[in-house]
Amino acid sequence: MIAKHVESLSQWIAKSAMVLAALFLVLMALHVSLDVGLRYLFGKSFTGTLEFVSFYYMVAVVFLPLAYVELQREHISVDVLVGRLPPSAQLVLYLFASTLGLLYFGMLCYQSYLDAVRATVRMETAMANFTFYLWPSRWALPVGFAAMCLAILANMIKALQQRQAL
Amino acid sequence: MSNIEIGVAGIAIALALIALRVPIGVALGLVSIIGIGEMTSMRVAWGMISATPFDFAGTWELTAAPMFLFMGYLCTSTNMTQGLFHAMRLYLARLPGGLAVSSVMASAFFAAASGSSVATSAAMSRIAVPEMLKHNYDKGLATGTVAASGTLGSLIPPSVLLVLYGVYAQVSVGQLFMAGFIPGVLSALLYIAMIMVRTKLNPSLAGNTDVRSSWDEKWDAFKHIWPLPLLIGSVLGGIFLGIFSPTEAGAVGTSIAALIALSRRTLTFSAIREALIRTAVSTASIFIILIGSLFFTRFLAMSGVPAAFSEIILGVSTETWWIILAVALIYLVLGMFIDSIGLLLLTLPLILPLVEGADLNLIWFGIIVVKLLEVGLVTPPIGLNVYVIKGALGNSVTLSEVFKGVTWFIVMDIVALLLIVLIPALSLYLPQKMF
Repeated sequence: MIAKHVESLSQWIAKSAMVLAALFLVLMALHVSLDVGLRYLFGKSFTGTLEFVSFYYMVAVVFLPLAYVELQREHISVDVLVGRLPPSAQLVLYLFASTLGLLYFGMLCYQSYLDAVRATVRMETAMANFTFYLWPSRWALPVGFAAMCLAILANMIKALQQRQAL
Repeated sequence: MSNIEIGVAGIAIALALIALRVPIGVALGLVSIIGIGEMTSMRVAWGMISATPFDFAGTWELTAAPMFLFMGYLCTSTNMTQGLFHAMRLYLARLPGGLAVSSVMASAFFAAASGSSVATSAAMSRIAVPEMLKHNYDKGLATGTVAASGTLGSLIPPSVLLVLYGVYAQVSVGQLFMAGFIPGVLSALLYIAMIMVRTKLNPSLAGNTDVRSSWDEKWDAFKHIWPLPLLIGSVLGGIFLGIFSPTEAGAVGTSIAALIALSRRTLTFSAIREALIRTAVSTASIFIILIGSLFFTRFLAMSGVPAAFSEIILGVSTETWWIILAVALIYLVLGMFIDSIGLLLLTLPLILPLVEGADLNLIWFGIIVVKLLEVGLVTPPIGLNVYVIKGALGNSVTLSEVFKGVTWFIVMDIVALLLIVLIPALSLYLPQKMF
């Protein structure tokens, strides 16, 4: 019962985060193109294109799709050796790899959460010639990593139920 | 344990974990965190986790990676790449081995736009290989052509591999793009020359190509292929003339691709959606490795392994050919198991200090590294591209037929590599001419 909930919750979160990431991708393409166009035609450009694109859009595009990547099993890993082992060994190794993933992304999530709280409290800004708030984008990391951990957990439960590596 | 011992153990454990199918980024990152904790204290390790991922993702130059991926996926999802082989076939069929030559040309354009070797081989194996087999082409030649031609994309700009190398090695991505152009075209020409010579000497390899076509057909086919040359030309031209930076070029290219698709009425909601999802997935999975690899760089630097490694290699000889040979051997061995982006990010922490120590030109060296990585995609026993083609074609060819067919292309790759190494101007002439 709980397993079903974990899976559907994780899918919902992964998809929502993905929609956000996609939105920021479109914004990135449009914002930079408009900036280049304005500069070429009128010799002017927007203030803070670099800051918006790298600190907001890019950070979101990198960290928000993590859980989706995990649920679709799109990680870059090496299959050649393990693919030749019997299914039971594959399952054990899969659970082992997932546990390491949980540990790693758990650590990243914990530390980036602390950083995000600290940045929010002091309203962190970026070095620029205008006021640019950095702290909101700090939250993309703990959110992305937490969703990732949940997705790994959902996949582990699924693998255990099906008794085979995903 | 001394720091060097911890460093060497870290490399061994990371490679072992990767072999056990732990995702590459997780293996590199976790080993580095524990290793740094072991050498200094966990406080230092937590400090690294706190600083690195956010600062790195927020690097302006890296925004080029998702944008070029977006441009490439948009080209495929809006069918810009479809008519390519068909048109090339009409134009080039009268040459010896015409269908194979057409495949090389079509793959070169496709790969330049999509930026992915594996995606190119996968697509072309469904389009070009059945056509060649239908005309009784030798199976090895047909599949080998497509496997090898897919690799052209990472040298012919824009290339995501070159963006990643440029940011990592802190050299200009624009100069790298220009540097990759001539070596990429040269590789394609060598493939074509080899196909023509071989089929001229042994016409049975190329079966019966008797494709006659009228001028009307040729013109009709052109209507389907103009978008890609236009797109690649405007992206490279804009960079070369300094209208936009290489970092901005990806976004501009995406907009141009969208406008072209709009004019051809193929810019549907589902095409955009598909391109967006693929871009986000590729970006996130590349950055997982990138962050792990940055942790690994810190870890190795603290352990002193890269310095010791450089000392050993440079102790044998400081001649350029020896350094390149040593690097080539490393890539040849590891390239059998790991795909190009993973391998690049895995090895740069060790290899860049060596190259800097030997005072080699980092742009020229980048082109050599990318070419080496691509050769790894087609060499046995793993050769990712070869497996992709086998996967796409099922039982109509055997794995050994593909590997046998690809051998001639590897020979040409080695010739290309030698030329790139012996004549640095091939890589360095265009960057000097840039604005």
